[in-house]
Order: sequence, then C-alpha cells, then structure tokens
Amino acid sequence: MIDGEKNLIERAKNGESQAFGILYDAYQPQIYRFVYIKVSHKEEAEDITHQVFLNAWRKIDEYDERGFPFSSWLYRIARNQVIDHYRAKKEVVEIDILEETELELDIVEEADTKIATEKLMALIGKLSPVEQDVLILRFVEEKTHEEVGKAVGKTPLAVRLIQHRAIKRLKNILEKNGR
Amino acid sequence: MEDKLIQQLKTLRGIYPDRDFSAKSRGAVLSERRKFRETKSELHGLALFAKRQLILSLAGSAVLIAGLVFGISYFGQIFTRSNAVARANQINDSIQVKLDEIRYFIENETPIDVQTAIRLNVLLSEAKKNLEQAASSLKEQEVNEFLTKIRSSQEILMKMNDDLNGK
Repeated sequence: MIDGEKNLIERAKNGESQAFGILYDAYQPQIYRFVYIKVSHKEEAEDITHQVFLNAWRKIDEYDERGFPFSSWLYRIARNQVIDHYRAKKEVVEIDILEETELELDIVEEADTKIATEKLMALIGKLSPVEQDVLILRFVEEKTHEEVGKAVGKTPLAVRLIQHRAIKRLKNILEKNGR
Repeated sequence: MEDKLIQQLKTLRGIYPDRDFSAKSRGAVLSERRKFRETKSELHGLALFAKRQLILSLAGSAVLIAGLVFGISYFGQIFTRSNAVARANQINDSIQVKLDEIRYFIENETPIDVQTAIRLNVLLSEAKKNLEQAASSLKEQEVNEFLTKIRSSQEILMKMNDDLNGK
C-alpha cells in the first residue's frame, strides 16, 4: 500500500485524475510485470495493462476498500483481462498435454546457475493460471499469502497449497527435461 | 534446487514496462475518464432538468384535480345516476393520492435517470391531457366522457407509481 492511498482513492472516485495518476504510477509496473510473465509477449502485455487501468479508472466507484487492498483489486482485473485475452485469441491451452519438447533441453543446466528470463517465463507458462498467479505474486512481487489470497480469490491456506504444488510441478518439469 | 528456483523467480522483478508506453498509456487512460465523467455529469444535468419538469407537471395536475373536485360539486346535478358523483369523487381522491405518492418518490426516494424521467414526463403529460379533457366534458355535461377521462388519468398515474416503486 502506498502513502495516503485511501485518500488518493477517494479523490480518484471524485473524478480527480491527478490522484488516479499517482495510483497508476505506483501500481502500473507490477501489474505490467504480472501480465507480461503470464503472456510472455511485450506488446500484448502492454495492451492488456493499458486495458486494466482503463477499466480500473472507469470502475473505480465500484472499488470498496473494506478488507481488500487496491492492488488486489487491480490484480483481479488483470487476471480477468488475461483470461479474456486468451479467450479472444482462442489459445486456451491444456497445460497437461503440452509437449515437454517445447522446453529447451539446456534449461536444466541453467537452473543450477541462471535461467534466462524468457526461458523461466516459458517454464511458468506450463503451470495452470492460478499456479502462475500464486508464484508471481508470492516470489516476484513478494506478497503475503493473505494478499495473494485476496487477489486470486482463495484462502491463505489454499494459496500455500497451490504454491507448494506449483514449485513441485516446476521441479518435475525441469527433472523430466534433465533425463 | 527449490531455493534456486525461487531465487530465479525473484529475478523477474527486474521486468519493467517501457517508459514511452507508460507515458502514452497513462495519458490515454486519464483523458478517457475525463470524457466519461463529463458525459456522466451532462446526463445528471439532464436528469435533474427532467425531474424538475416532472415536479412542475405534478403541481399542474394537482391544480387540475382541485378544479375537477370543485366542478363535480358545482355541476353535481348532471350526474343522473346516484352513484356517479361518489364514483367520480372516489377516482379523484385516488388520483390525488397517487399524485402525492409520485411527488414524494420523485422528491425524496428514487434516484431517476434521464430515460425514466422522460418516460414519466410523457406519461404525466398524457394524464394531464385526460384531466383537461375531463374538465371540458364536465363543463359540457358529458358524464360518461368525464368518467372515462378521469379513469384513464388514474390508470396512467398508477402505472407511474408502479414504475417508481420498481414493480
């Protein structure tokens, strides 16, 4: 949460674009990052991020801060926007039937040293959408289990379980490629 | 391996949007809202205007009804059927009650959008027209026509009342 956030949101709700501009500056990089890691495409991530903030600006009257951080609200809009994006592109992929060969085989060696950003993103892309969300929010954005839960609509305990499962799956994918 | 994986995930924090994109997107987002709010405020102004018109028309209708009540007692002898005067007074009372209820809802309870205000204004004009025609019928001693017209007004006002109550 940024300083004076509650006040900024109230001012934005009253139509003060400058106040929303401050919220935009504070949250746009992390929303972009979240979207970019999920879609792995710069221009698409930009379009989606733009749409997220456009929707947030238009619907800010609907935001109710009671027990729900503003960032979680933005992540929810972003998640829905990414879903819409894939729906529009008709690229909903059955994660489990993806060919393992899509991963480059040298990724295992790199896992012990440094996995290139693109390869790491491709790896994350093999996970289910909610596993992706949890890993990005927990380890890239360093949100608490509770914050992640609010953003993805799960309890903190469920977030822990998803996180555990996601890490295990990532390791399995790497090990399979290492054989 | 797990710790290294988590460390690698943390490196993704170094991803940032392009500055040029951010500046353009920011400007576009904020200007979009301004247009949206202006439209919203224009609509709000229209709704307020339509609402005021509605209140004025309601006041006009109340005056018409008061005139009709006076007319019924003045031209009472034209109602040859024994229950006609009572029936006419009953309808007029009902119209007055509906007018009061509608006025109360418009002034105190119901937020009205432009479309609703316009629709209610049209209905009220129709009701007023019927009341004016009823007044003419009364002067010309056409009892049946008089009763038909005030009954039509009553029905329109009931419909308006239902509209405002969300029925």
